[in-house]
Amino acid sequence: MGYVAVTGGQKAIEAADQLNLWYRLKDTEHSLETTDIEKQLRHLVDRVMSESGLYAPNYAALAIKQAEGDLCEAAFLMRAYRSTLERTYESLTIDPGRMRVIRRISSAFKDIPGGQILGPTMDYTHRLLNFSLNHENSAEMMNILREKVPDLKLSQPPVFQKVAKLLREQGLLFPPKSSGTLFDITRDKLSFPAPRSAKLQILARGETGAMTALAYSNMRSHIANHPTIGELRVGYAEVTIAYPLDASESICLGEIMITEVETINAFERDEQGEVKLRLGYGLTFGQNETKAIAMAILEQSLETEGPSPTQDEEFVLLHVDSIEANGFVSHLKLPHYITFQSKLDVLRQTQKIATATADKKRQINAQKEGQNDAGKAETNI
Amino acid sequence: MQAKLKQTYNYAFLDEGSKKEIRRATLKAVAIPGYQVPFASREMPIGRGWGTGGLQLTLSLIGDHDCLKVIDQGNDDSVNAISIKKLVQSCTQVKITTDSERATLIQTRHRIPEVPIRADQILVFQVPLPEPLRMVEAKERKTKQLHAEMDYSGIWLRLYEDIVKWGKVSIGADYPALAHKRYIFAPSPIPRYDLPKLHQADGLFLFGAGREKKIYAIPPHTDVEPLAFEDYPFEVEHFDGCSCRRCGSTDTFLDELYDETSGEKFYQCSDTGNCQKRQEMRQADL
Amino acid sequence: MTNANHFQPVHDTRNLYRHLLDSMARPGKINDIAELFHHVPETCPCSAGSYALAHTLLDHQVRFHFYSQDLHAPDAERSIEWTTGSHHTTPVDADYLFIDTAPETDEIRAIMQNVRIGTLAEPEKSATIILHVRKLSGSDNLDVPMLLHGPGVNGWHLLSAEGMDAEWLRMRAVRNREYPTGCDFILFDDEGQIAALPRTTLIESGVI
Repeated sequence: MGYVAVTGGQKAIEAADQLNLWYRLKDTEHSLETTDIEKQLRHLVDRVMSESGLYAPNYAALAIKQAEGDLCEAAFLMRAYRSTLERTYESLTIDPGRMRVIRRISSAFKDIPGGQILGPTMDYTHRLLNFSLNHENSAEMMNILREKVPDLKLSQPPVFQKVAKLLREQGLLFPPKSSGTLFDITRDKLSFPAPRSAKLQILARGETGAMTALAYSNMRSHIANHPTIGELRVGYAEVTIAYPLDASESICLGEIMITEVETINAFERDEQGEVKLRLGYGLTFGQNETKAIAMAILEQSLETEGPSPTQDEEFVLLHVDSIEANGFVSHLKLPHYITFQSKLDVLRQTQKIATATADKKRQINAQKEGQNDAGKAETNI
Repeated sequence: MQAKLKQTYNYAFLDEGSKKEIRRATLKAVAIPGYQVPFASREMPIGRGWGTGGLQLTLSLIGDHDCLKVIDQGNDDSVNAISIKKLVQSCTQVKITTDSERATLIQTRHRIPEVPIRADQILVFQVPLPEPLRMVEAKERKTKQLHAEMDYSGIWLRLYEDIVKWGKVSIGADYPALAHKRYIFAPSPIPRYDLPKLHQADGLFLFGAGREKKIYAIPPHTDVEPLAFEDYPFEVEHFDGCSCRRCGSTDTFLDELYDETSGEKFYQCSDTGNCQKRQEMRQADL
Repeated sequence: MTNANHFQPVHDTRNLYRHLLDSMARPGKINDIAELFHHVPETCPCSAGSYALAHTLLDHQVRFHFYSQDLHAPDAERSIEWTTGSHHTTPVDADYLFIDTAPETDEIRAIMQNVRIGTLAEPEKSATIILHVRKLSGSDNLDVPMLLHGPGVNGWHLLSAEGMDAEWLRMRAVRNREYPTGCDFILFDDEGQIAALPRTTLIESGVI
């Protein structure tokens, strides 16, 4: 009865849960510490926080452990948890110009006020497997930290003015577009055309791979757009809320790490006839540089009109969400016996019609031939 | 884990704000039969595309006095149906049944139970793709406009082309129908066999599409007409001469199965709860 | 534990919603929610029906208008705002209008001319009018008898109301002329009975 919908469903699910446990732990001596994930796999944690839209490094680490490293699954766990949380406050607008910067580069200008800061990046590290990591131990780790990177922990990351601000002061940039009333994609019903704040929110929590692929398509083929990174900065920004009893005061809730990217795109003539540059904007939780760049490209692409798929807001916005795309693609694993049966029925009916039509044609042809033969016979006579 | 769920999450999982939003959308959906009312749609602890729309509807409705039945492909014991029941049970104290006649609330994927839904019952459908016009128009903005203007020429043309090409309409399940002579709607991937059950019925039918964020409804005693041409009438699936191997019924929707050893084709009721009852009745008769 | 004078945000709203949904799905069908009315605090500055329905339907995502000739009307407005998070607004902007005491006929006309009826593309962006009447009945024995047809009604259905100005029905017919745009009505009486008249319902009434 292999084809019948799995019976004993309850038992099957329980067995699957047990097998998950077994496969997670069977070849190991100790369970993975979530703090290890949180502190040592920070890009993974950042990506999960970014795609889930929930800034909680320790929960992200737990989700990664629980999902056995499946990123989509981890982001989903976080998202499902997030959706049950109460929305008690709305933060005040974060000004990334005031963030404590740990990394900051500009591809547009060689010299930017404050200078370029390479910061933590693997951009220029040779991609050679480092076999010594196989044998890294705690004592060695401490030594490395003490000898090779002295005092780093103590120095306060600096605050820099933003490059875009300089351009804007010189009248080279269009003023930032207002988002109007803030739309909340997790609470409000989305319809198209989507408000700008909704677009940015969807992109900010989009799936990294999907966003990168779409941005790549935008750069490579469709509109061959090659923006310049005005500034990419990674650092810590304070999250504050208005003091509930006195709105003129604010309370700092803590810091979050964010990546902000501003790309400089083609120039354009505004309504007053002035020629200025357009800015693309990307912002993500954590250090997610490629995604932030992709976001800036897509955001800007959506502001233009044209035949490229990345200029089609429904196409971009409805397909970059990890949870939705994964959910629907993977739902094909569910039984579809009924729909398949229904399709088979249509197929068989269609086959019958085809056979009947073919028979009829043959008959008609046979009749025609018969008549023709008869005709011939007559003429022969 | 299950015990913890009760402590950590609200009754019926969703926060009250989410329930209110779903309820408001549902009331509107009932007032405009077949029209897809947008809603924000929360992420649920089950996969998007795995019944989150139906589940959100169920959770917005359910109370401890309810008796819930969940089926997938007509089957109460399908793993996805079990998984959904497990979740509902972990955040409520509702009774669960496999008997559609005892249930006050039925959540389903791809089937309508064989026994007609009564006035005191609600049937909740899980909907993967709520937009019937999507097959002819990819853009939401445009399909919205087509519905507004009741411009359904595209889908009619598609059906006509089917007839030209195949000699009949080639749509299997999820056959589009017209609700209250106004909106074309997708009945979710139920077989054509089930579609007439929506017409002028006693029960209330609610449709939830979680990923696509839409809720729509067919109230009781509402006209539901499958799209068809006079000379090419709507047809349900054919089971001529077939009967269920278990209960012997000849008037139910049947699953087509193949015997593992002989490879022989046989049929079995897709509505397992109803089949079970019929088997018991047959045994009592013997 | 007693539920008296405490309208429970989880279970009472759900219970009321189920009755309301049944009434909306079956236009004119009277559902009895008297038991829930008993849970409404006695100090509530509006009718028990308005209170219970406000707590079931409203939150910060929607706006309401509260109409009452009662002295306590401003208190009721504020109380609903505070307890539900919804904001009070004019009839034009309201998603839900609570008509707690009977307005004059010209006031009804003004309200109905202003309520939102949605658009052809978005018919759900329309107002729901929640009308407090003295009494509802499932036969034609009261002042305003209504013979109902349409989705949710098996053939026809009778409903009659006392303490309901027939102008509501006249104006409803005017505003609901172009389906799917229109507004939906919820009626409740002093005894804890509710009924609904969605926009699809055709009403024949001797008084209009």
